[in-house]
Amino acid sequence: MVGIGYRKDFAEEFSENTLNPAFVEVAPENWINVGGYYKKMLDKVLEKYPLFVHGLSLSVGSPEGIDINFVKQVKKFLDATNAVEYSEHLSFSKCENAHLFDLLPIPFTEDAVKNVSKNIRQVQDILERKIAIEIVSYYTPIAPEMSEIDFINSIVSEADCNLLLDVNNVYVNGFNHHYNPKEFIPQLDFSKVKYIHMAGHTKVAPDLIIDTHGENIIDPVYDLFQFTMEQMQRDVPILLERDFNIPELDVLQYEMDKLQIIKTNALKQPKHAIVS
Amino acid sequence: MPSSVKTFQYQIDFANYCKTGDYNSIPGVNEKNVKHYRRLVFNNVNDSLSSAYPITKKLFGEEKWKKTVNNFFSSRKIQSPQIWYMPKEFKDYVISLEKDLLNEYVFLSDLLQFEWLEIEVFMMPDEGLKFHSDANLYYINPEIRLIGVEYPVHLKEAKNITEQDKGNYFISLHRNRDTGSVEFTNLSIPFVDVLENLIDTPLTKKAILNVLKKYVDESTAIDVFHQFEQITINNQLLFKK
Repeated sequence: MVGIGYRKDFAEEFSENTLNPAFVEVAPENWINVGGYYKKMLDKVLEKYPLFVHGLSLSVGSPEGIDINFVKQVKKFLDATNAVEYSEHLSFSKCENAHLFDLLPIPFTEDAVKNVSKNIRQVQDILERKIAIEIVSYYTPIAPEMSEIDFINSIVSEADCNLLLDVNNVYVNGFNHHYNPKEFIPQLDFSKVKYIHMAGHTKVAPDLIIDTHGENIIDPVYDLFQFTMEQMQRDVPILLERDFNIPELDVLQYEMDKLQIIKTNALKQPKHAIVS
Repeated sequence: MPSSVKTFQYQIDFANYCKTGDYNSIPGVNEKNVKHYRRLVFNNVNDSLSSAYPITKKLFGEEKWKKTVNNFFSSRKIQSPQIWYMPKEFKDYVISLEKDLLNEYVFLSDLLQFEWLEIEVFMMPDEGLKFHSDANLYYINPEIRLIGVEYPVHLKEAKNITEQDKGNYFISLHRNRDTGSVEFTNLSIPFVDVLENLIDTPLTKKAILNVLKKYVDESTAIDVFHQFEQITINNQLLFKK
């Protein structure tokens, strides 16, 4: 199934059934303790579509730990909306108890692995469910002592959490940090991948891509998605993210349809015998 | 330094750079690309505050606005994990610490409060409205805030407000339950009294007139009540079963 990141920007059009997603995704930060016009529209949407919840401010990478009161509010929101999945970013957005509202890269170090894993386990204990953690795009490493893949795999293992594989982010990171995404992806623990994100990005310099979610998905990212599905050989929910520069909704429907076709074809791929 | 302290210190240094724009070398950081983090982080905060305070931003002009946003973001520890709530922290910061701005614009505190309340009322959780069996009762919209201000920030264009406008002004901001839009009503003291009573409990017309009669004679009270009733039932400040 393929879902869409639900946004107020297209809430009106969405209510006219101009899109046909299998599910919707929202950020809890935009809806906790919120009412009014858009909340009423969201409630109507949730009568029809299952909800996936994708957080922004949990900040599992914070040196000072997580905000327990906030996690409890998230739990209430997940319960109230019958949320299918809760995912967050492998990053930090709060430091010294000050929110920055963006996804900052965590140093790839053993100490960060310990800290992040502890934070995720604590979140999972409070929520009484596993969360899926997203591989984020980044534009510079910070004091790395290990490889990105080892960092991710260590956290997924130590925290015993799931993985949200954002294929566009891996493409962006491969471009920005000069590695082959098709060598990176097979090194992930596919059994932990519960959810996939797909999005567009913006090239801001010949050697730098920013993960804007503001453009259509480009062919090399579709290609990487097909590669990922062929490697995984397992069906997981796919989400199309579009946060800025929202096009006509039929463009988004076209992208969702394309993702579904690619996934279906990749999973149908016959496995031929080989000579041993 | 233990390695965990180093890891955390690098994160703190990186976050401080994003907040202030002052970069001190961090091992492994790509110095060409790191500026994008400061740009993205600051723009996100600036965009959110610009949307929240369009009148204040226009009043300040671009340069002064950005300087104020930068002062706020670089010096304050933003507490709310919800970005839509951050503008309240900005308002509180300016009112408590930006003394020069408050001296330059005597009405700034009122203006920020007015602009913030528009967001707060737009976003506030839905409140149920339970009607009693008595059909003659008037009910106040529960999605409402009442404020008193010294300057008419809701009536005059900000750049035209002067010391001479100083007085006692009262405003209600409420959310229309059909459209979700926030509407404000300029109130005289007798109607502030009426609304404060209605917040406590629904009132009959007779009870409302009794409140008004503390301020005006009976015939005037009846006249102003009818005008007020027509406006407030139309804009959903008040409801009747």
